[in-house]
Amino acid sequence: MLSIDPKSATPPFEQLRLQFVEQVRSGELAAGAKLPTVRRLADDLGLAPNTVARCYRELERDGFIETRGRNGSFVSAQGDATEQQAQVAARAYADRIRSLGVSHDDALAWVTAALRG
Amino acid sequence: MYSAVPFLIAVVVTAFLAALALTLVPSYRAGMTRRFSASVGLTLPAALEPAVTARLANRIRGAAIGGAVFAVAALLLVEAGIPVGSDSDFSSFVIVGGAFVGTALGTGVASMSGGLKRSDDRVRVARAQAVDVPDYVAPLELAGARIAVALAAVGAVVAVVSAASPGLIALAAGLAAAAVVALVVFELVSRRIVRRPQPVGTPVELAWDDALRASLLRDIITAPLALGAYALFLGGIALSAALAASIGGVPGTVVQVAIIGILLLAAVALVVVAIASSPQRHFLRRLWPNLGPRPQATATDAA
Repeated sequence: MLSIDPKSATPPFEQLRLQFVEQVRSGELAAGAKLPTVRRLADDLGLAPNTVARCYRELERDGFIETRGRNGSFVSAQGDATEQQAQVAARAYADRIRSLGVSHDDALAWVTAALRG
Repeated sequence: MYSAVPFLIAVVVTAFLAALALTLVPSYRAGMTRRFSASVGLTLPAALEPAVTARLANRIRGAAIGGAVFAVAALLLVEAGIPVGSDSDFSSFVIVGGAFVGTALGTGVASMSGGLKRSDDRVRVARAQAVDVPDYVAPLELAGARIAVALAAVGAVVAVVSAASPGLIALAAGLAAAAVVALVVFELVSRRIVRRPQPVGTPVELAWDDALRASLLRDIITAPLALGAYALFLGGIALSAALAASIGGVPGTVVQVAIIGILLLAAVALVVVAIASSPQRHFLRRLWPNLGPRPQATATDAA
């Protein structure tokens, strides 16, 4: 969840950027997660589209997100090469689980069992 | 010959006016919001109640207007003998189908106007990830509508080729065509609804906006789902009649009864599975997973 306080001394652009960075670092935003479009996020948060676009550009420059043409912006895998591969595999699993309509609990139970095996 | 159409039009108009009047009755409005809150599994804070109630009432009005207009149009079509012929026993399918399409369209149009009011000086919250239609509509309903419409279209073509029961085939083909149109409308409108901004100040407001969106999308997908199922069922009856005629005798009747039985069993099984999977809470599982299976919860718990 993102929040913007218009009365804060921190500029909205910086509030947004810091929250994205924190959520990517903490894993709350997993590798491969698709971000809202610039216009949609700007409308949701009551910001100018340029503010959100600038935030996305800086996040991309710092390696937190990547833009895949017209498909949109996605969270980049973080860490070393092994960790990045693991995150990409986790995203593929999560996407497959979603497409199958399987519950989170079942998905976690199965992947936990598979890791134990 | 006496026609029941004027009487039925009077019934539709009366039902429409009653639905409009009910949305103005405070006790009905409160009950409507309470029932919706229970069905989606979210507790409604008092501060949000007027806005949510107004949006629900707006949707009922839209559904009533759309349903009444299309039902009357369908009645007039039936009166004119289109598309079933005046001697058909299946006119009710056209009327109910028309009411379904009208209700879905009316609901969609009514929901396009209205939304949460924004305030520039308060804290805003937003989801950090993009959402799409499958986040709001359960796979069973989404895939079910697409499969039902596709099967209905194929079934209508096969039934036309088999050239049995012309009146029934015309109805099945008409319903299949209407189902295809309704599905195309859903595919276009649903994306537009999901793309609309959600200017909210708290996670609770966001969860409630999600709940209303999910409910709206499910209302709209009901049209292609129901029309596809109708067309499939009627196409099945037409095909079974053609098969029975070609086989002849008792074996033909057995085949006909078996096909109709299978269709009915499949419909009942799907309804049971749909009810058991509580599709009205699909959005909670997808977008607010931390709320979990608890029957009543607030979004602040999950934020």
